[in-house]
Amino acid sequence: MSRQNPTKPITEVEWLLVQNNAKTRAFAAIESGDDKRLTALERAYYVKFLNLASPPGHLKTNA
Amino acid sequence: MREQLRDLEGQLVYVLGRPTGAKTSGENRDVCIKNATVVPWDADAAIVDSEGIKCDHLWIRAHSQTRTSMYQNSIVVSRVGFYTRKDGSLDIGCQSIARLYNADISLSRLNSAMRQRISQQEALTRSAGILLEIDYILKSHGKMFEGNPVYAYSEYLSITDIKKQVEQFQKTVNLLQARIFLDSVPKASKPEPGSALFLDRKPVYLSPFASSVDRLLEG
Repeated sequence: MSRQNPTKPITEVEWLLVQNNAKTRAFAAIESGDDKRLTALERAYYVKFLNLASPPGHLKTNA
Repeated sequence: MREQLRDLEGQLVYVLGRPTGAKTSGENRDVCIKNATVVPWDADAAIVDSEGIKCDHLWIRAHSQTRTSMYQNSIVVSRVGFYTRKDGSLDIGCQSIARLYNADISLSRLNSAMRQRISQQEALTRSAGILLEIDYILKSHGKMFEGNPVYAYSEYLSITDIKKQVEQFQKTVNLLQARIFLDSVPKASKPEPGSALFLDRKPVYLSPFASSVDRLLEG
C-alpha cells in the first residue's frame, strides 16, 4: 500500500485492509504450496491456518 | 473392549472430552481422553443435538507430534477403528484425521464486529476479513489441507446452518459496502425540463469515426 505521508500512522481501516490482504496471500500460498515470497504477516497467517487446532484441539479456541 | 463403539467402526465421529494423558509412539502421538463422548459426524446436526456414546476413556492416535491442552474440554474429528495393544489384544480406539476450525468463534466475532461502536467502514472491513477466513475454511471443508483435511465445526449449529449464516452475513456486508460506495459517488444534478441528464451543451456525434476520446488515447 503506497502512502503519501509515511510518518503518519495508518488508520484502523488501513491496518484491517493490510491484514485482509495478508490473509488472502496466505490462503493462496497454502493452495499453491509456495511459501517463499511471503512477508512476516502473511507467514504468520500461513502458519496459523496450517496449524489449525492441532488434534485434539481445544474446544473453545482456533489456536 | 469398548463394545458400544463396535457399530461405529470405520465411521467419522467427533470425540469430546478432556485429555488426561499422552504418549509418543514413533512419529505419532497417542492421547487418552477421559469420559469421552463419541458423536457420529453429521453435517446436518449440531453436536449438542446429537446423542453421544459415552466411554470411560478412549485412546486417540494423532498423526503428528501435536500440542495437547491437558485437562481442557477438547474436540477431535476421528475415525473409529481397532488397534492392537502391546500384549497383542485388540480394542477399539480412534484415529485423528483432521484439523479443526471453530466456526462458533468466527460467527461470534462477526456478530460483535457488526455491533461494535466503530465506524461502518471499519466494521465492514473487519467483517470482510473474518468472512474471508471462514469462507475459505468452508470451501476447504473436508478437503486436504497440507496433507491433513480441515473441518469446520460448531457446538450449536450444523455445518449447513453455518454455511447459511455465512452467506447471510456476506449478503449484508456486500449490501452495506454497496451503500457506502453509492453514498461516496457525487450526486447527479436535478434534471431541468427539456434537458437530459449527463448531456452538456456540446453536440454528441454518433459516427463511425474515432471519437475525441479515442483520438486522445491514440496520442
